[in-house]
Amino acid sequence: MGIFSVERAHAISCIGLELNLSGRVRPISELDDIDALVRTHRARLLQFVAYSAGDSDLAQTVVQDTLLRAFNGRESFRGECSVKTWLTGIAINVLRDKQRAGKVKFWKRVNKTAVDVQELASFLPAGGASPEDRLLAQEKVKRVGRVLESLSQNQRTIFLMKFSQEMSVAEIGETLGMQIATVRTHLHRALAAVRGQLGADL
Amino acid sequence: MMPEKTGHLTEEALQDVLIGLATPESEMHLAECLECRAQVDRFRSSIDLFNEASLAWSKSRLAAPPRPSFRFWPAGLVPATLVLAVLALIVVPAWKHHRPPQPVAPVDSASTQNSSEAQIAEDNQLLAAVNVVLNESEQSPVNEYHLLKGPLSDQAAGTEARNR
Repeated sequence: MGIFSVERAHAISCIGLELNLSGRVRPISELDDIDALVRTHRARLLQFVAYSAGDSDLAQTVVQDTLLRAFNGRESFRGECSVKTWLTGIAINVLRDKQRAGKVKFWKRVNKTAVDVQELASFLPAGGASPEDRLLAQEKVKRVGRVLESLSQNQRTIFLMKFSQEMSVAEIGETLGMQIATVRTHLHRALAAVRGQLGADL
Repeated sequence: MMPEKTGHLTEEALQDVLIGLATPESEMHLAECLECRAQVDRFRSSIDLFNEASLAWSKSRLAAPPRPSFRFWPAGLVPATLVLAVLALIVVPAWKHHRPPQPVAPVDSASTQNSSEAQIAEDNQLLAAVNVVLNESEQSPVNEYHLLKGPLSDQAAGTEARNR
């Protein structure tokens, strides 16, 4: 982030600063390297989109399109939020576009490949825990996964933005074009459902 | 947010803590109340476990080769096939069910038996006639191509003659 360079065609070199004809300065970031972008963000994006959409196959397509769109539109990244937050916003838009386009496609819905919570729990790293602790941890993962499935897509997406993508309420509001109070209400409802269904064991 | 009369945070205050909108009062309460802090910690640990597992799933999914799917089917063919199959399942049994019954003639068992015996005799005669005609018109391939020579050939010729 601290490194700067010369803009491609119309740039004037100025000791590490990237200047274009409009005089704007843009630091070189991970967005300029598509490999680094993919390496750093692909898995986290897939994690978010797969659980948000509830469709792992669709999520892979959405992630590919998101990274491509981000790379092509990297000039528009103003650096006001983290790259992760910016990518999450793009992924949500791509997902919405795909779902809107596929709204009447019956087969797409039939062919939906939901994430299996049983399979998900098996991916929990052992981490030196005892077999009993591991079973307990797997049970917790399954229960969180099942509760998330029961939420509306809106609630689930906002919940994941907060607790998986670690975005602030303000960032979520800005990304989704919602008031902070609305985001808070969605999060409260999602939390009530999650905490209510998981009970005291949580 | 004020703590409940029980001395613990209200559900709303606890939720605000979890989403990062805690008030200074809630923060102060959490610093002192073990029970409320335990609730926050339990929730966070469950979410951390879920995030760990889902990230590991995501990484393995990206590392795995793509799964075979039915994408080679033309886009419109699958729904069309489904619709046809459903129609076949609905329409065919319904058509069979509503088909008017065919009129059935009364059966005379004695006449049926006589007519069937006569029919069998007639069929046998017809088959015998066909056999004769075929034997006359078709030459045996053994003789036609002179496959057998010598005594066996003579024997075959004798058989042929007898058949005629």
